[in-house]
Amino acid sequence: MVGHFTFEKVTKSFGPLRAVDGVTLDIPKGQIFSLLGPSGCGKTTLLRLAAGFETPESGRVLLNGKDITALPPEKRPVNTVFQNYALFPHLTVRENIGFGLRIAKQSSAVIQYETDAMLDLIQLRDRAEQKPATLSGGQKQRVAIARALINKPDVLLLDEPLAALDLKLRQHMLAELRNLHELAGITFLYVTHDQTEAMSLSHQIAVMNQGAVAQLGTPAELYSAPKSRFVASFIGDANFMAGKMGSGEFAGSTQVEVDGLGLVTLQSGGGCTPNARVELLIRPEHTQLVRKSESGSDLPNHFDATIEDVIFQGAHIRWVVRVAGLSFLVERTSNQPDSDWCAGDSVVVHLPPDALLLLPQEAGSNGSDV
Amino acid sequence: MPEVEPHRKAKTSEEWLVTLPSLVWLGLFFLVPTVVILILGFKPADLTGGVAHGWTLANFRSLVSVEYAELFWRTVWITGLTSFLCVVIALPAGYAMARASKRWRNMLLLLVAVPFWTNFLIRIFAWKTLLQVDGPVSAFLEWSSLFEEAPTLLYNNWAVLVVMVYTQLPFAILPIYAAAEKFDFSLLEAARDLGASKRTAFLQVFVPGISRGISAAAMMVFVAALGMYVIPDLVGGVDGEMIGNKIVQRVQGDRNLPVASALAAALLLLVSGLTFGGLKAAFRREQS
Repeated sequence: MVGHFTFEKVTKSFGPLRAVDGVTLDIPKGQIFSLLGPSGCGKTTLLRLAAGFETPESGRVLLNGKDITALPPEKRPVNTVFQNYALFPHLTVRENIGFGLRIAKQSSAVIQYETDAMLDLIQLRDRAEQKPATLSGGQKQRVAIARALINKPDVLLLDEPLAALDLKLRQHMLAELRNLHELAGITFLYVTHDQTEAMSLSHQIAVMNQGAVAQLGTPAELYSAPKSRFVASFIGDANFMAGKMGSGEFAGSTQVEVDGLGLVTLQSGGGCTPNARVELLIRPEHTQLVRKSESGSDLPNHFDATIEDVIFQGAHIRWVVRVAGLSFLVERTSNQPDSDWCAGDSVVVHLPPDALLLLPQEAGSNGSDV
Repeated sequence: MPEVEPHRKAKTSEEWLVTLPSLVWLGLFFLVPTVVILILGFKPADLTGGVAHGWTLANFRSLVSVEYAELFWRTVWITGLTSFLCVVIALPAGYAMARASKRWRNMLLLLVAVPFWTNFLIRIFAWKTLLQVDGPVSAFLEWSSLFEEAPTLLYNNWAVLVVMVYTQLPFAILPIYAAAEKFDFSLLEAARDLGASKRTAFLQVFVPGISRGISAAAMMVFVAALGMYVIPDLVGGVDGEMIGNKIVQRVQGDRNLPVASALAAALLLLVSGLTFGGLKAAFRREQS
């Protein structure tokens, strides 16, 4: 199991820019593994290094323990689904799908059989003899995937494959991709800047920032235990509070003196030195609103607040809430009772101690981020 | 779409007005002379170099001979080979230009255009100097010991071919570059990704991808080279003449305008026939 597809201390620069900076990643066989990050974080460069379109200036790329760093793209048992599909406009759908087999000098009978199977799989049999220009975006996408899968690669590389599709189609294609992954049973390396796509598709995600892996984990791990402000804000929404560690422990919990708010108690977070600068994080759906009459702001982790804005999102309602100098985002499913707060209402915000996360403060980050 | 029609009509009459000067120009200086030549082809020649009264088919009939068949065949193969070689050289050149950085690209475009700053005849005389006996090229061939004694480089069909390719090359490079510049080079990466070598990707994806540019290049070179007479005249041998040379001889040597006109008409027919056939083939390929 060790080392199916591995990046080993891979570094790649373009001029003065370090696109990929000493990345080491091990992608287990058969997984859907996502590289997630903002544009310019190096995820596409990493994918191009995997495909062989770029060569690293240091480090190695390994496939099944074999060093493939120096192999040109045509010699690597990996195939790519390009963001713009890159279908050959002068060839029909069938010829596009069969391109790899034709290059590999397969007999025309084999090519016919295999392309038929692929056309059935992507349900485009009736479009087989048409040119790609006549297809819709989703159909082109499916042809691009079929054209890659027909070569039975060890790893399928997908470069933002759904970026050009509209929301409905994207959701549909996500389900289809998962289906295809199950059928093909091969490793998917999936590059995206869309956290929803990565979360709903992947077994593991490497969140990338500035050419390096910020955090590696399952979607649930990344959401519930982000290790940095960057990961926390990139995956889902979060309320941040800058503060200072309180001195010592208090009945098994830690206290943090939040700037502009006061003492906040949390359950986790031992190990930080007293008085160290830290940052607290709470997800909007864990932040609670309480009616002013039911609860006083003198209880621990309860603060007087004013509703600033209401955002109705169908299944969810969100409130922007001002607490002293800080702004909080609160989310609730809209079928819950007590969801009729309006802008201007006075409420109490409750921050449950078990929902608060402690992050070491990074340089340059300050205040709340909603 | 009935409500679009009036608007389109108004625009068309405006377009006519704008196009009128060019149409008049073309009519006066292109269409009328062509018609005059065609008419002259059916006139008998008179002995003083003028045109006699009456009509005749003798001029065209005189073209049906082994001598003219050979002339036409030589014209077509030299021109065809010139077009082929120009396209073969222009393909990698256009590819390299399209892939070059913006700064380099403009520089290379300029270099392609530079020969036009020098007079056509002077450039051909430069080639004569290069290819002459004991000239630089034969000196190089002897020095490189590829040949013990350099072959005669001038006054044969190969000299005509070399100089023709040289003069026509820019007309092949420019349309191919124009097509290559619009080509989506990520398609080549896709081809490599699917197992194609660099060469295969070039031949099976790039070349078909710019087929329009290639057709345009081949056609431009072919049509322009078919009527060439200066090059065969200056660097070709006695048996290296093309239709153009024959026409000049008939006009200047024999002072027989009607036969020259018949030859010119035959050349025109040849050019239009081949151009039309080429266009049709290209169109059919695009349709399929």
